[in-house]
Order: sequence, then structure tokens, then C-alpha cells
Amino acid sequence: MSGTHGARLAKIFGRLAQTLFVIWAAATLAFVLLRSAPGDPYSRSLDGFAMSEARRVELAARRGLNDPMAVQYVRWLGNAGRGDLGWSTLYERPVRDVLRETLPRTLLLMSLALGASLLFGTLLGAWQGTRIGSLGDDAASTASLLVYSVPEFWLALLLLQLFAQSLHWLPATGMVSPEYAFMTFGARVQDRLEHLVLPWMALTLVGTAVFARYQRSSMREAWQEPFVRTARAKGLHEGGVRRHAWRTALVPVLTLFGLFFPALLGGAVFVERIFSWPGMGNSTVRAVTARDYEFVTAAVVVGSAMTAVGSLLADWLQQLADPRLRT
Amino acid sequence: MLHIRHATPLLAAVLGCLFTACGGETAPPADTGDAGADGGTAVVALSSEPSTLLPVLVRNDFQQAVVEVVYDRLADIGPDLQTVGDAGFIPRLASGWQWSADSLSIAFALDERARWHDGTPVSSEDVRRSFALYADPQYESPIVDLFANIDSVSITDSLTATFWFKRRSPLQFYDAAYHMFIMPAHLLGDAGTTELARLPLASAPVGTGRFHFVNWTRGSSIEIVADTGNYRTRAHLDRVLFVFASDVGAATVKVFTGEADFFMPLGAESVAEAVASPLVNVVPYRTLGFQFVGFNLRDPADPSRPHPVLGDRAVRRALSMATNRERIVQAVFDSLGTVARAPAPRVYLPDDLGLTTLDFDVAAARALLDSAGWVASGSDSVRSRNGVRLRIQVAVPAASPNRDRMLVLLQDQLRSVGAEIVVQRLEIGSLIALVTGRKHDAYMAGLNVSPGLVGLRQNWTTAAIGGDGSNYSGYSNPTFDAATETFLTSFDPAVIKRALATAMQTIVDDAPGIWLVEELSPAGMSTRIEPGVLPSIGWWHGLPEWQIPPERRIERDRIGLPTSN
Repeated sequence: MSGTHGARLAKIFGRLAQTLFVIWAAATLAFVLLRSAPGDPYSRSLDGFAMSEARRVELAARRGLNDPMAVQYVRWLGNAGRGDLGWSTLYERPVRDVLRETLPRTLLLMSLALGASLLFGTLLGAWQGTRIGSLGDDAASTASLLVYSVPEFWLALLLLQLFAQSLHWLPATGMVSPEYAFMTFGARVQDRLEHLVLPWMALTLVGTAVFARYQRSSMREAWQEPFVRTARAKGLHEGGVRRHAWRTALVPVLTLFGLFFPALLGGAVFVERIFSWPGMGNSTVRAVTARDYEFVTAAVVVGSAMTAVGSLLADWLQQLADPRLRT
Repeated sequence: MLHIRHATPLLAAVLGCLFTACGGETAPPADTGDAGADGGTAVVALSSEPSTLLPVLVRNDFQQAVVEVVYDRLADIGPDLQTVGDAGFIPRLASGWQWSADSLSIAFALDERARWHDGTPVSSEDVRRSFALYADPQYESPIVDLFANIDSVSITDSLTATFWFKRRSPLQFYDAAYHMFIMPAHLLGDAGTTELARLPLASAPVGTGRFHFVNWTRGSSIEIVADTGNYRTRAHLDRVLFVFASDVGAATVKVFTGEADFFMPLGAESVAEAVASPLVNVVPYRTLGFQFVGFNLRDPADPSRPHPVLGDRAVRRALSMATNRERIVQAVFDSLGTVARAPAPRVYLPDDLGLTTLDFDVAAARALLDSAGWVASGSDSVRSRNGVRLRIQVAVPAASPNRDRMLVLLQDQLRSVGAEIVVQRLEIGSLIALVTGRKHDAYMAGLNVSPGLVGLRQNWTTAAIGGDGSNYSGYSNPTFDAATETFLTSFDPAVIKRALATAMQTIVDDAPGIWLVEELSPAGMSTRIEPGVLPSIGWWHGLPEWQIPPERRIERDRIGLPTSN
């Protein structure tokens, strides 16, 4: 018993160490790469803005940007270890404050899209998997392949053009309307939901297609397993048989869930840009252009942590679905 | 399996997030007082969110647009955009001023009616503290150098602040009155504060302008409303909401869908759609900018030597003459651009200046290259001289469709005289590093000139090569330097005009660049709004004069008004 407990603890610590290493490596890479790129946060513009070179150097020095990279790295590592993510030169605020605002917006969008993709994708795929070759299966496969092969940003632009610019059914950009502060509570709820629809749909359609294709394939295999025949032979009703087969077929899809997390994060960056969703992805793109070193490095830390958490969540869900994996 | 009892807290968390953590705080409606004939809410789209609203830290147009209408300067530049002396200026926070007999000090008398938006009377201490923040290098002002000629600011009485100068200059008044917005001393905190961005004033400005700040919902909008008791009379609009988009494309969409009433500049690809839209008027906006191809006259590998190709004046002149700029402007900008004549916008180049430009003449360009020894050899149509090919790499920002189009046309035109243009598309940070490091052959860029052309010295004189200067071409001509110095230091209008003519003719003849276009930046404006004017110095200067006639008002124009209205 204690041996099993010890092994489990060792596994947990091993996984934790692995996660921390991944986060550190990603942050270090971001730190080095961005600082190696030409320019710095106080780069002079070419369009006539009148900051002198001496002033530029002086302002950069105040932030320690003229120190050797190794010195900057050690300083950043020490500060990050104490929970200080630094000062955003682009947003003129502590990085922590900017992330505190933008991260929940990205998480909201991603979690809703991920949850819906998983739900719709597995349901659609499972339904298809038990009807291989039917007209419905063919139609669903064609539709999901079509969506699957379309880049998220293109799909987002298409949705924006159709539902916002042409039909005027939904707002085009932002999280709320300019008049939001002056609305009644009910109108605010409606306004928020309306602004959520298009970016959520852009991410969810692609996610649903991805999950459906995997689920269909694994359901098809499970549907031909001997235990399905046995269940039928024992007289289990068709719904029960499907539930048994689906549970088995769910495991590979849950593996995909972990892998899909970083892809969704990347997709969210494009979708946030197109719909002006003020999330972390949008802020990070601006920060990269402005060479806001500390914000970008912090965003990479958060992004890799989210990916690691997604992976852990996928493991947990797999074990939930398949007790044989609980060792 | 995910049971409903597990899903409920998740749903609650999502909904909670939807209405709390993700949205930022919201403010109750602000009462704008008497709406009267004035009124309405204009929604202005910005292609990026300002990072701070503290005037001393302003570094871009997104910040400037808001700061400019919430704060006041001591005086503003008038419509003729003249900066010499004080004749071209309009009183703002200063109701008047008095020069000393030796012209080394100016005493500004503040308007006694002026109040901060929190009700505190404006005082000369506000001017003194503002100057300290702008000019003292211990703070983070990016424009500290612009105050180099001001020695100090003293307080004569509660409504008089005196600026003391180190030397006489035609730009003394401009330096004192225009570069600086006056900030409230009582809200600036301790004198020891160096991280100005941490001041509450940076996110909740309190100014004296015709609009007062109400609320900034991060990631979404900034709300300002008319200051109904303002000493300069109230703005016509009740309210302005600045809403943020992620880029130009997203901001343009906001105007097309009616979510915003104004955005500037529309992308060229959107102009036709805007013209066809019943919701949008296209308003041409003449800025103080122009676009050009800047040559590097020094060798990127060894700046002590001339550039192997572009160091030759004949080559530069030939390239200018081989460029059909009218065709380029017509093809890319149609009616929204005019050919640039020199490194200055036309508003500063009156016809009687007598400027002679290098006009399009392919035969003359070829002859010039022939006589300079640049000849085509064998089957290769590209000219060369002493084994050096007439090949120029032009760096351009990667995401700049108009410049891309211009460059493709330029490539084609210069090929006809045997010059090979290689396009180098770079991410903006890399482009800036390349050019400011003087590692380029040539680059295509836009330059927004300062009012009064005071940037001529910094951009084109010999003293501005390397170091603190922005003369990225390495252009050097003593005649130009002397004429520019006279232009910027003389008090005599006739001398100033002659000096400008000499400086402009010299630099046009030397052709350190190809002056391409003065763009009329198209603004997309809702048909609801009567804009009045969009001043060249910054469209936001006109914002207090915008109007929405009562018959064109919609639901959002009634924000903050009693429901009976």
C-alpha cells in the first residue's frame, strides 16, 4: 500500500518537475529570442517623433535594458521567482496588472470554445461512428472536413463579414458595446453574449470538426469490438451499448484534448485580433511588435502553464473515462 | 462523465467571469447637464488602446487624441501653422503674455476663469510643476530635449508664470507654449515620483479642456463628456466614446457596421466600400506628412565612405527623374494623394517660393547615368560602373500595402533606366533597427513634420548624422545647413522665406530621396456627424466642434439624458 502511495507521489512530483521545466525552457527561449531581435522598447520611430538617441538610451538604461543579457536574465529569473513579472513598457503598468485583466478574457473565450468543441465534437463523432457510410455520416464528414481545412482566421473573417457587416445580426468587434455602461442589467447580459458569439463560433466550429473526426474514427473501432457484440448478446438495449462503446472510444479523444489546448491558444490569438477581443493573445501580439520584453516573456510563461495544465487535465479525464489507466 | 451537478459550478464560474473579472469596472452614466441644441454621442474608433493618459508620457496618436481634448496648452498653433514668434498662436490656458525687454523671458497670464475638472482653480504652480515633469531628465518624459532652451519657470503670482530662456530664438514662444500640456499640480503627488505612469492621473486624467474624463474601461473604451462650465465654452457634443480595435482593419469594420462614428485613416482597400456605404462619409484629411524613398548616401559597411551607388549625386538625380510620381500617386492613391515636391508638405511650400523640382524625364535620366559612367553591359540590362551594379535594396514595412504597391511601380519604372530595385520587406522593429543603425541602402517611409518645419535640422542637416540626429540618409550639404539654420533662427519673415527656398531647392537638387506623395488620409465618418474641419495639426483638435444635428440623433445620443428626451 505504502509502496503504491510512494510511487504515486513520485509520479506526481516527476510530472510537476517536468511541467516546471517546460515552463522555464519556454520562458527562457522567449527571453533570449525577443532580446536577440532587432530593436528595443524605446526604439526611435521613423515617422518624425522627436525622441533623441541620448534620451532613448537613458530610458532604456533605467529599465536595465542596456545591461548584458545574462545580467538581465538573472534579474528577471529572481524577480519572477518572487512573483514579480516586471513592468510593461508598452502598457505602462505592471505586467501582472495587464495579465490580470486580459487573461480571464482569453480563458473565458477558450474555455467556452473548448467545452463546446468537446461536447459537440464527441456527440457528432459518436453519432457518425455508429452510422458509417450513411448519408448523414457522409454529409457530416464532408462538412467537418471543410471546416477542418479552413484556417481559423479565415473562418473568423468570413463570419464577421456575413453576420456583422452584411446581415448586421451581431456586433463585429470588442467585448461590449460602447454604450454598455449605460445599459440595463438585462441589456448588458444580452450585449455580452452577442459579442461573444462570433469569436466563440470561429473557435468552436474548428474545434468541433477536429474532435468529431477523431471521435468518429475511434467510435468506429470500438463499435466493432467483441464487447459490443457481447453486450448485445446479453440483451443490453441499444442506448446502453452505445454508451459502453462511447466510453471506450472517448479515451483517444481526451488525449487529443490535451494536445488541442496549445492549438486553441494559438487560434485564439488570431481570433482575438480579428474581433478586437481584448484578451491575452491580442495584447501579446502588440507587445511583440513593441518589443515589450517583460510582457511577452510573462505571456509565454502563462501560455506554457496553460498548456501544461491542459495536458494534466487530459490525463485526469482519460483516467476518469478508463479506469485501467489509474495505476 | 460530466454530470450536471459538476457542470453547474462551471457554468456559474463562466457567467461570473462574464460579468465581473472579464469586463472591468463600469461607471454609472455621467450627467452631461443641459443638452440644448448641442448634444449627441460620437463614438471614435482607435486602432489601439492608449497605454497612459498622462500628457508628459504621450508617445503616439492614440494617447494624443484623448489627452488633447481633456487638457489645454498655454497657447495653440493657429490655422496658418506658423511657429515663429507668437503672432500665429491662439490663447488657451494663457489669456495673454508679456515679453521682457530683452526677449529672454515671457510672462504668461493664466485665464482666471479656468478651473480643473475637479473644480480647483488653475494656478501658476500648475505651470511650474508641469514644466518640471516635462523638462527634468529625472522623469520619464520622452521629449525632454525640446525644452533645452528654457532655463526655468518661475511664479510671479498665482496667475502668472514666467518662462526664462537661455538664448533668443524665433521658437521661444513655441517651445514654452506648445510642447507642454498643463497638468494639475495638486494631483501630481510627491516631487520624488519618477515612475509617472503609476500616478492615478495616468489613468484618470483631470484637465481643463472642453471635455472632461469620465471613465476608462480597460480593453473597451474611454468616455469623456462636455465640460459644460468650461472657460472656453462647452464642446458641441455631449459625449465622446473612444473605442479600441486591435488594428486598422478592425477599426474600419467598426465604422462600416455603425458601431463607431469615426476612424482615421481608412485603409486604401476600404475607401471604395466607404464611398458606397450609406452610413459613412469619406472625409479627406490632409496631414503634415509625406512619403518618400530615403537613400543612404554613406556606405553601410563603412560610413566614412560614400555609398558605392547612392553616394553619386548623378545617380540619385537620375533615379528621381526616372520616377513617374504622378502615375504612382494616381495608381495607388487616386484622388487621395498629391505628388510631394520636397521634404516638406505643400502647406509650407507656397508657389512663390520658386521651387524647381526634378520632373519625370526618362531620357534625361538615362543621359545623366550615361555621362556619369553607369552603363549597361552585355545582355544584362542593369547598369554598372567599375564592376559595381546599379542595384539598390529598398527596405519597407512588411504590413504596408500602399508602400508595397508604390514600390512595385517604382521597381518597374527604374528598371527602364537600368536600375535594379530589390524589395526588402521587414517587420517594423527590424526596419527601424536597420535604418537607425544606418545599415540600409534605401528605405520607404512616411515622415510627419513638426509644425513650422522645426524638424528640418534634426532630419536633414549634417549635425544630425549619427548620434542624436535622425538624418538616416547621411545627407550633408553646407548650403542646406546654413539655409536651414537661418530659416530656424531668423526673426525676419522675408529672410525666413528666402532661407526656406534655398534649403528646399538645395535638398531637392541633391535628391537624398525621392519625394513621392502627400497623402490625403481618408477618414471614415458617420453621415450623422457634421465634422466642421479636421485640422492638419491633428484631427482631434476639431473634436469639440463636431455636431450631430437633432434629426440625425439615434439611441446612443440620448445617453445620460432624461428618458423624456
